[in-house]
Amino acid sequence: MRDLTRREWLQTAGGCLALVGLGNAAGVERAAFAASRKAGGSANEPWVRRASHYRRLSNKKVRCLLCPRRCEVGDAERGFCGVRENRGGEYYTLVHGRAASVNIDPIEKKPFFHFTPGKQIFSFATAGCNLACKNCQNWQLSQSTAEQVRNTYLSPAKMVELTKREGLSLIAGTYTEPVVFSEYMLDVAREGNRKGVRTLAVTAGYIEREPLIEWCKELAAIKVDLKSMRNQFYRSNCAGTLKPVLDTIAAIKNRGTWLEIVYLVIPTLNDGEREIRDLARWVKANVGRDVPLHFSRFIPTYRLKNLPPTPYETVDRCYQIAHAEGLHYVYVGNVPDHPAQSTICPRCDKTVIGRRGYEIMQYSLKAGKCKFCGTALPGVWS
Amino acid sequence: MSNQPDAITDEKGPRISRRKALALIGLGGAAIAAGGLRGLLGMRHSGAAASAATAVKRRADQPGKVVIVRSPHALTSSGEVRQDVMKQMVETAVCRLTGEKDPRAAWRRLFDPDDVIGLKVNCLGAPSTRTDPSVAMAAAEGLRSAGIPARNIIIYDRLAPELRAAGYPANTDGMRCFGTDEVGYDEDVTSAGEAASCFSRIVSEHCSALLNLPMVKDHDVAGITVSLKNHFGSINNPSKMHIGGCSPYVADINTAPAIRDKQRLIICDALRVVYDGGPTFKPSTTASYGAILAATDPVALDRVGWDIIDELRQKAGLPTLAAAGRPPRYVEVAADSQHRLGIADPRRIQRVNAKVG
Repeated sequence: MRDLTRREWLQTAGGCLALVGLGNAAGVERAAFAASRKAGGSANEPWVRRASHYRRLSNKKVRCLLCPRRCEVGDAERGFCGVRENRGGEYYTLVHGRAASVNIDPIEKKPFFHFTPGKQIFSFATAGCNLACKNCQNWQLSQSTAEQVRNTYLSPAKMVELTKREGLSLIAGTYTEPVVFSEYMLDVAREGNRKGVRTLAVTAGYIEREPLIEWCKELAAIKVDLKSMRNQFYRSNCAGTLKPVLDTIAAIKNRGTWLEIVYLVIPTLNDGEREIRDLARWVKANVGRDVPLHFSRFIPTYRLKNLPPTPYETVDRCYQIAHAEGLHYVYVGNVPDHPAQSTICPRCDKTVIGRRGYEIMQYSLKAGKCKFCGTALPGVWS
Repeated sequence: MSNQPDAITDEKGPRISRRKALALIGLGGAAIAAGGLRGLLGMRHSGAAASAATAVKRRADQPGKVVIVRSPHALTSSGEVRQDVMKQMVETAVCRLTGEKDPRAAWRRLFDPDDVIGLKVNCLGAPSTRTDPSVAMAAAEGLRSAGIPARNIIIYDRLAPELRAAGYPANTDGMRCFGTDEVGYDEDVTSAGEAASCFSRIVSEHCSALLNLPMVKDHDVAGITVSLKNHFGSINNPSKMHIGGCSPYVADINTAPAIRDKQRLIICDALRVVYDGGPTFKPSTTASYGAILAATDPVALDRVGWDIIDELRQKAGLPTLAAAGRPPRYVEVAADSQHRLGIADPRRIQRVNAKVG
């Protein structure tokens, strides 16, 4: 991660302001406002759209069907995510086009290691999350409502236009939780698919099956943060449950959408040898040994400042266990210069993609095949 | 890998967050507005003031005591609240609660003249249902009679538009009224039991004392919303705590020093009570009750509020909250040995009934 100087940042912010100014005057924005009004929003609130997955109940209540939490929401109340609201017995997303964070990142930062390595990706998020992880690194956004953070109105069409203007062809819904801005991300993906821009999601995978199928139809790749192999961890650390996440991972694989998995190793909470072995065995048995598995090192933050950073040896041990269980593509993140940042051909054992941090130092793939032995590596390489 | 938006570094100074940087350049103008308002207020709660405030709180505490003041004349035939009657009701409430005969002496037992007092009203569901402005105005008048300057009285809730819809103007005779949306939340999270939230800066920074002004309402998730749950409007993430019947979160939030150490008094609007289908307004299940409740013990007050709702439900032929499967469990949790926020056992609650007019 490169830090910006204050001057650079101000220049960037100024640029963003100019873009926003342009956007407001542009036809695409007018169209977006009109679409919003049609879908239940208003001229004052173009980011309000009728939610895609809910059921009306008696007494003006609704049942949200977007995530396994299935919130029952009374009139004028919001779901757990804080960005969906019941207005008179209908359910609305409050963040369609309401981007709270917009950046251009290397795709390795997500991380996707088997999807167009070295590419830059236009990344966006809104406020809100349907989990409450004590270790959330973006909690200022994820645990807030849209009203509590600064937003820029960025319609799907405008986002795709900006992406192309920057010479990019990838967009990621990331940072917080795309599940809670699912309608927005899918509209970005649909617009992008028409214009040659692919959309990816970085998610915790806490989503119901029906919306997930929509994702798999429109998205080019999904990275899932699998937080533990223990339900108790999900309950106590994330206010969630494990099974829906495993179901999501399996469903993504079954539907053929490119999948990578990240496991953040937190000292004492999810780093036991047996748990890591369970993880590796589950991955091998349910989605196959070719799905990349990234072990990431925890840095104390938010409500887990009482724990130390994950020792390097712990992450090494996780890597060794997963490798020994037969997974082909095991990676280590948040550890500078670790050799397991590179992609090794499982057949000839040679480095085919050499990485240092987010940089590609060596690229020895040709049409997705190892330059040395000709083995085809799983992934989306172009 | 760290999939975070990049932070910003000041080459010569400390690392600053994106949020701070945004505030610096005033994107959208909101930061300037908020900063201006904070500057205008010019009042921050110091550590010394905090210890003095705790001493006042100890002096005022009345565990388990709940005063219920009724008046047959509180509401006009058209449903308006008579301000003169409300003033008498509030004065009676604080006198009976503190044991003082003179309302000014009663207010002085509860608050110091140099306190900056946040009046937490409840505007969810406004304009149809909200803490009636007459209650807040009567309380504010009492505070002023005890020598507290108008500029030290802040009426607040989450959102300014909700306050305005509820009938609270931004400035009433020098008293200010604003939403947390205008000044923001703490940048750091406060953990309290299972709960973790950023508190409204009005609570954490501007005020040395709190006067909680809730309503009595049924709540489809929590069972009831009275004084303890009213502070979900003092934090940034109430939606994260509507699981498990809001328990233990309601109790947990009230143990945070920003609430526990500052709240001195609760005056609860029970003029009209939503006894089913709350927390929003349901005309068919809203009853005229014509009372206000006062206490320093939020648990005891909530227990009484719970009983009022059950009484009205039974009159309407509805099952009690417990029978309906949604007893407000957090009330007893708030009284347990981990929380110690007050008394929940009905046998230990002293109910003092009073009548005005």
